[in-house]
Amino acid sequence: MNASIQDSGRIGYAFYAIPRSGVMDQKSYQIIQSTLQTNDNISVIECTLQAPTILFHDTMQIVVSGADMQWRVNDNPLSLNSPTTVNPGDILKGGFAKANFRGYIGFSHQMQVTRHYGSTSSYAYANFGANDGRLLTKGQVLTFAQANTPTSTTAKVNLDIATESFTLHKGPEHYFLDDHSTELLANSAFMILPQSNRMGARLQGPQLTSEKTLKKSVSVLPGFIQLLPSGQLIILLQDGQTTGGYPRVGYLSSTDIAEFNQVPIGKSVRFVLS
Amino acid sequence: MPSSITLCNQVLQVRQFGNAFILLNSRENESIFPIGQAIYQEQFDFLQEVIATESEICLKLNPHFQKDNLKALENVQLPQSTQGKLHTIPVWFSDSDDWTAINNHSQLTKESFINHFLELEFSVAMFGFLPGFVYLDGLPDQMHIPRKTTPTAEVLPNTLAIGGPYLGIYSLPSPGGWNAIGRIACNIFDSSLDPPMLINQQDRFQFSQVGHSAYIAIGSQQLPITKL
Repeated sequence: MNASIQDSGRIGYAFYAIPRSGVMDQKSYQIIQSTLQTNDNISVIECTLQAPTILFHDTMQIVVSGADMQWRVNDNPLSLNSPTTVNPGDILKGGFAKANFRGYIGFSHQMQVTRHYGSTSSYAYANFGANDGRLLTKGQVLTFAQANTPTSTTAKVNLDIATESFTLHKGPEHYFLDDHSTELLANSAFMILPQSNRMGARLQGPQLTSEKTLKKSVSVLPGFIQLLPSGQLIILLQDGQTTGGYPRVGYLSSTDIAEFNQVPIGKSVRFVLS
Repeated sequence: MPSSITLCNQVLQVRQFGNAFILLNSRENESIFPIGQAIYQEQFDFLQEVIATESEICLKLNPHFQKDNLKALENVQLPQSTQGKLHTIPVWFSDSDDWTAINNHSQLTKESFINHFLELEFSVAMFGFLPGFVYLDGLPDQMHIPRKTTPTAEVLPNTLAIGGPYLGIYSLPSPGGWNAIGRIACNIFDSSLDPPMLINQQDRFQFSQVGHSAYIAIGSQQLPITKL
């Protein structure tokens, strides 16, 4: 089980090297908000690759979104993106993600968990947010308080199928690449390596060459694509650091980050230069 | 879109990357981190994040950002340097394996390295890397030690270390590629406070040597240290 509690993230503290954290797939998160008809910064469970099993002690509504984890409530199949009422004694189960990588469980009531800098998002290095920043473990009990604040004006979310091709915007040091590498970046497949995590996705592709190096540390944000000295790429993600010394050859838009984070480890992605 | 902007009497190059972020860079050698901190402290609603390093300020834009918003930056002012405090931080110079590299690069024994070190005064270069990490300026060239090629898996909290030209403090346990020289007996980071850093950009730092037993006895106090 690889499940943690996340919300929309910790915003405004990157100056102190506190990363945004929060759900890796903001789009599935917005679908949950819209399905539960709330704009609250709700805490959800983010499940990577595999679903947890959850026993409910109270009546509430839940919604599952993101990767299809073959969700069932008491062995009755549960559709993605539609609300379901669960009662005391009900058990939510699932399996491995059939396609995509991360599944989400949202709740109609507010999870009672620790908040740091306005967010319950778990961030392991600093023990921030829910569960001291750690993954959920077997036997753990989560408590809920009042219902989420209802709204009738949730954002409309586009339910397009996830892509494996992403628009690469030129980063500040894109021009460091030699001509051949510029071409390779736009015309090659890059595989997501198992060393990838919430801090960053390590890619395996053709070796790219930078004609220059950065002399000083520069700023980085989630979605920035850095060229490592090995000639391979890393895409910084939600828990990523805020400064770095490697050339920033590109960046992904925030909507593309959500889609990219649904591509399973071992699959390949391609970039289209904007 | 202007290609340069004058902030706090410094001309900065402006590069806008779509509606995602703007980078401000200095053509001079002087650090622009203080300007970045002054912008951050204004908490402009058109900015989602401000990240500042010595050579660059990154402004992550909110969706409602408009070009005219940049004009507001021109009113940002630097704080007076007299507002900074001089902190004396107790440090236990541990028997870290990294002393071999430090001795080799500096051509100084541990004892003479420490004696030089205790005479130095440091200032904040920037924040970055991980929460609670601070880069300090003030090491003379001879005491610059290159970062390790393979990072240590777990650096202990409040480790004092040297990476290239900087002295750094790791407030939290993390992997790290800098050369550890010791551990400080105080916290400069407290996640129950907002802002979390207990030091200001204008502050200056000196270090005082304590033995292992005194280091344990002092424990982890918070800055400013009131009793020693």
